[in-house]
Parts: sequence; structure tokens; C-alpha cells
Amino acid sequence: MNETIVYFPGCLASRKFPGFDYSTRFILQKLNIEFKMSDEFSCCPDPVWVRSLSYKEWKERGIRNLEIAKNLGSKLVTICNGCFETLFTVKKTFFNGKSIPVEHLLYTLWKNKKEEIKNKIINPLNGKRFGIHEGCHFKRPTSLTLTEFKELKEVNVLKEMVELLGAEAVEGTESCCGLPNFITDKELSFFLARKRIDEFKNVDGIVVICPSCFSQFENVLANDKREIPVYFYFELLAYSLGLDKENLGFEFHRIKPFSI
Amino acid sequence: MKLNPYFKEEVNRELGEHKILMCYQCGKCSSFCPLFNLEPEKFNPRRIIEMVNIGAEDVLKLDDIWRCTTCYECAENCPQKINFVELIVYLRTKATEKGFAPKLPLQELESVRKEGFSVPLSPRAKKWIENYMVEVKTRG
Repeated sequence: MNETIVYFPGCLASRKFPGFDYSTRFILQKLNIEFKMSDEFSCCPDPVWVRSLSYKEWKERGIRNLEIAKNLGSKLVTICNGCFETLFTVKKTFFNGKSIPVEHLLYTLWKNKKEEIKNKIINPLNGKRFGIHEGCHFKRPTSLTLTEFKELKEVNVLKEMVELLGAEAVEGTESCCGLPNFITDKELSFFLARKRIDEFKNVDGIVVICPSCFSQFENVLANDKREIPVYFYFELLAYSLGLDKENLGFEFHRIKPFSI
Repeated sequence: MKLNPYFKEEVNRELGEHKILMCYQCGKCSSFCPLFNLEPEKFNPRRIIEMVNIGAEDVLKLDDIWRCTTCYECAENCPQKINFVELIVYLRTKATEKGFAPKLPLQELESVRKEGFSVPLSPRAKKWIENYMVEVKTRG
């Protein structure tokens, strides 16, 4: 993969959970992936609320972000399901697919870097057992995504990537975390999250690839006073590749992560 | 319930000719909807489509349309390939134009308009970034 990717961290990973962003930059460097960023990027914007409240502004800002990206590199890569959905959908809908390719970093690494990651793991997570949650917008709507990411139909990418680190991955349903309606019906939103969390029995934590799912699960677990840590996959990958514990940004977690 | 046939026409014109009209009320959208399965009275995709298809414009005033999480379970399982999420997005946009949007989501939109971002940068995160982020950034 000798190309320059455009890294789009998104609002939550760069402004609320900066350890996610830091971990990702560490991973990209460790794997010798050339990347560029831009201070010109705005919010993707959010595919749920901004799109729902002002479709025009959602479309215009999405197009703007893609226009900036295409001058910086050959592929735009996100670490957020929401950013992925917005930018991928905008590309498919308004550019007839002919803009910069948009991928979620998990897919990019699974597709191109599995062997390299395997060879570079310094801190394996052997013996850990994690519930895994890809989140809705990693591959839905499949009518759009499977046109480009056909493998996602057959493969649970997160499962393979967690197992790559030496941990056991526990699958559940593909049900929603409930975050999007947190601000319009908190009770219902938490109800959904609890249902999903309770699918995982005897796990050392839950691993997600979307900062929104992360936020939702942590809020519900903290609210319910349950000590199940939630991890952003790229934190675990960065740790496995040698990032120091204090640089992971674990202080931004509401539930104390495991001692490593 | 007041019916407005032009509303139905408008929805179909905006979302693609006859897209929503393809619904034959099989109810698969609802049966796969995680919200419907928890609280059927609070959110029922099948009912929302039916309201649109009979021209019940009051659907725009319902709290229901703001509860959808856009998880796409409905769209993934619709035998007619109707993307219900597109309909929800459209109904919410219309409801917003008419002043029916709830306040909290509007705050996020305002934040994006003013700051460019949906999430504020907390002083704690700012400090952490200043301490830890520079080294990686310069090497990137």
C-alpha cells in the first residue's frame, strides 16, 4: 500500500476522546502508512442529526470535505462509523462514486496490513476475552457499501482483527447501540444499549470501532454502575504495537480499563 | 386526521418516483426494527410509511419520527428495497422547516454551523492534546 492516505479523525475522536486519534497516528506510523491531515476539515457532518435537520448543509459540508481530501491523497480513511457513512454516502450519491475512495481504517488495515500487524505485535492480548460490536454504520446500508466492500458480506472484520491481537472475540447480534436517539428518548436509547451489552457474558470488555458506540456504552454502563470497560479497537491495536499506556488516553474513559 | 394528497406526491417526487408507494405493508421493517421490538407504541416504521402513503401530513408532528436510530435494519430487510431511513431523514428535514424539531438535536446543528464541529473541545482534552499529540503529529 504505497500511497498517501488522508486521515479524517472526526469530531469525537479528535475533540472528546483524543487518545483515539493519538493511537491511530501511532498505528499509521508503526505500519509505515504515509498520511496527511487538514485543518480545513469540518465535522463530516453527522449522518443522523445534521443530515436529518438540514439535508442541504449535510450534503454541502460533506462535499466540501471530500473536495479538500482529494487534493491531499489517494484515499480518505476514517476511524468513525458516522464519518464513514456520511463521506461514503455523499461520495456515492453526489459524485456518482467518482470522488476519492472512502474507507474505515479497520477495513483498510484488515485488507492490507494483517500480516504486518501480526509480525509487529509487541504486547499481545492473549487470554483476554472481548465482546465485539462493529456498529450499524460500518457496513449498512449494504445496498451502498457492498458495491465496494464485497468481503464484508462474509467476514466479520472486527472479529478477525481482535483475534489478530491474541484475544478471544465474542460475537453477538448486529443490533444498534442506541446512541442516535439518546437526545430524543434517553430511556429507549439506554434500553437498546443494555440489550446489546447483555449479549456479552463473562467478557473482559467490549471492543468498538465507532466513537459514538463507545460513548453510548460507557454512559450506560457508568449510569448502571457496571464495571465492564469499553475499548476503541485502535487503542488496543496501538498498545499491542507498543504505544505506552500513558499515551493511550485512558483517562478519558469513564470506566476504568484493565491494568496493562 | 387531516389528509393532504399533495404531501404524498411531494414525498415521492423528492425521494424518487413511487419509491415509498412500493410499500405493500408486509411489516418486515417493523419486525426487524429494534425499537419496535422494545416499544411498539413508540416507534413503528410500517405505520409511518402508511401515514405518508395516505397523505397524513401530521406524521411530521409525531415524536415517533425523532426516535429512529437510523440503524438500517428496516432497509436491509425490506422485500421492496425501500430505504426507510431516507424517508425518516426527509420527514425530519420537513418537520424542521415547519418548526417541529426538538431542541437538543438543533443544538448540534448550531454547533456545526458556528464552530464547524459537532463536539466542543474541552479544556481537558485540549491540554492532553498539547502534551501528547505534538510528537506524533510532527513525525506524521
